[in-house]
Amino acid sequence: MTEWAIGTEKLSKHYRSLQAVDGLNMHVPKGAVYGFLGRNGAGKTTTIRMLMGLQRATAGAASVFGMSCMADRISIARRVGYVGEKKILFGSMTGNDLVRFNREYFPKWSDALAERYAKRMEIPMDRKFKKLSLGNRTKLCLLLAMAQGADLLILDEPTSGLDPVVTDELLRLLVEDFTNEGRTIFLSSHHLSEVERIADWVGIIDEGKLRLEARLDDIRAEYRRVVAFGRDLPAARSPQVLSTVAEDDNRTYVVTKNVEAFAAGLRNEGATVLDISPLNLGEVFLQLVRKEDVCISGNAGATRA
Amino acid sequence: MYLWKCWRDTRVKVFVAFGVILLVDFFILASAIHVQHFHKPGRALGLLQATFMIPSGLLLFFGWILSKENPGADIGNGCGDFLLTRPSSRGRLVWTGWMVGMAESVILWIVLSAIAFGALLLRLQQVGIPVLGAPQTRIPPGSVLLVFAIFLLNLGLIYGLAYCIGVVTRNGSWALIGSAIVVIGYGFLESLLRQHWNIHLPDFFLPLHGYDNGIEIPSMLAFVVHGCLLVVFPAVAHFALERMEV
Repeated sequence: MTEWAIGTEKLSKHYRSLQAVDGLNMHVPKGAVYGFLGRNGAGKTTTIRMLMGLQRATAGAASVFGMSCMADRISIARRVGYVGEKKILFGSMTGNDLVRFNREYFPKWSDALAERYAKRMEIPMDRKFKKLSLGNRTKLCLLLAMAQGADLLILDEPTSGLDPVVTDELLRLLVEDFTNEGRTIFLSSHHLSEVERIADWVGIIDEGKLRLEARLDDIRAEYRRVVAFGRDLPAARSPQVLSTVAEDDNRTYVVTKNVEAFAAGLRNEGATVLDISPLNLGEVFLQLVRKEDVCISGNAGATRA
Repeated sequence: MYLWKCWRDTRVKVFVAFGVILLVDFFILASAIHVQHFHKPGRALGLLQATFMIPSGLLLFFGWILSKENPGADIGNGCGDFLLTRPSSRGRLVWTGWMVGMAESVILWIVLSAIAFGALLLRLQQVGIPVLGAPQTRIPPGSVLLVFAIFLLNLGLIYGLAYCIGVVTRNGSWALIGSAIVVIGYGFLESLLRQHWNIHLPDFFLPLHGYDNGIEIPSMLAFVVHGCLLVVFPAVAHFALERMEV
C-alpha cells in the first residue's frame, strides 16, 4: 500500500505553446492537510484536473491512493470528494435534488452530515441552484463533497465567494470532520492565511513547477531569511538555500536548515550578515514566486514523514 | 442517479408532447371521420392504420427536440467538473441519456397509438361497423410492427444524430441546429445529384406510406443501414465523451 494519498511523477501538461504543468513531482501524505499554493495561472487547476481524470497528462504520471488517475478514475471518484474551480451544478435542481442525485453514487453518503452542513453553512436547500448567490453555490458544492464520506477531499479554491464568517465555519468543519478523522485534504488557495490555519503541508507551484514541498512546521521552525552585505557573494545554489534575491551588494537568502552554519560560511567569505529572521508562509511564498531578480534553487527542503 | 436526472429534465416535454400529439391525432382523425364515408371499402382500415402513423411522424419531431438534453449540453453549461467526477463511466452517461430519450418516445408512441386506436374502434362500433373479426377493420399485426419498426429506426436516426452532435459540440442548441443542417443538406444533395447526374441516394428517413392493403415495406438493405445507424451515433458520442477533456 502506498503511503501517499496523491503522488505525481514528472507530471506535465502543455497546450500548444503553453507549458501549464512542467515535470511536477508532488507527494501528499495520507492524513495530511496539504495546501497547494500558486499564483494565477501557475498550474494548480490543471494539476487538479489531471488528478481527477478530467484532463490527460502530456507526460508523466499521477496517482491517487496508488491508482492511476486516468485508468482508474471511477475507483478514484468513489473515494474522493471534489470541488472544482467552476462551482457549477445543474441549474434546475434545488439543493435537495442535488443531494438526492449525489447520494446514490456514494455508499458512504451521510444524510445526517448533509443536513448538518446545510445548517452550519446556512444553505437554502429548497432553492434552485441557478437562483443561488455565488457564495451559496460554493457552499452547496462543498456540502456535496463533504457529505459523501470521502477519504480525500480535493478542493480548488474552496473559499472563493465565501464571506469571512462562512469561511471560518468551513475551516472549522474541515478540521472537525476530516483532519480529526485522519482523512486527507488537498486544497488550492490564494489565501495564505487560510492555508496556514489548517494545513500541515504546503506545496508551492509556479510556472508549472513545484518550487517547494515542505511541512509547515518545518517552515516555521527552520526556514530563515538571511540578509548579508558584501562584494561577490555567492548565488548559493545549494540545496539548503531556497532562493536568493540580489540587490546591489546586498543578498537575501531563504535558508531551509542549518542557518547558523550557512551564516558562518558567508562570514568566512567576507560578508557581513545583517539579519537572520524567521519567515511566515506568506513571506516564503513571495520569495519563491516573485519575479524580480530571483535565483531559485528548486524543490528544496522537503522533509517527509 | 443520471437516469433520474434525465427523466427530471425531460418530463415536462414528455407531458407537453403527449397532450399536443393527442390533440393533433384526434383533430386529424375527427376531421377524417367527419368528412369520409366509413363504409367505403378500405376506409376504416386506412383510418386505423393512420392511428399508428400519425404519432410516428409527430414523435420524430419530438425526439429531435428531446436531443437538446444530452451530457454534452451539461458539460457545456459548466457542469462537467461535477458530472464527470461522479463514480460512473462516461459511457454510461451517454447510453443512459440516449436510452431515456428513445424510451420516452417509444412509450409515447405506444400510448398515443393505443389511445387513438381504441377511440377509433369505439367510434366505428358506434356507426355500426363491426370491429372484432370483421374483415374491413382487421389490421394484420405485422403491419403494426412494421410501422413501429420504421418509426423506431427513423427516431433512432434523427434523435441519435442530434444527440451525437450535442455531445460532440457540448451544446444542446447545436444538437438541433447541426442535425437540421445535416437533414436539409442531405435532402438538397440528394435532389442535386438526382436532377443533374441521375444519381439516386437512399432516403434519409425510411418511407412510411400506407395504402389500402397495408404498409409499403422498405428494402432490407435500408433496414440494415438504419439499424446500424441506430447504434452508431450513440457509439460515436460515447467515444467522443470518453476522449473529452474538460
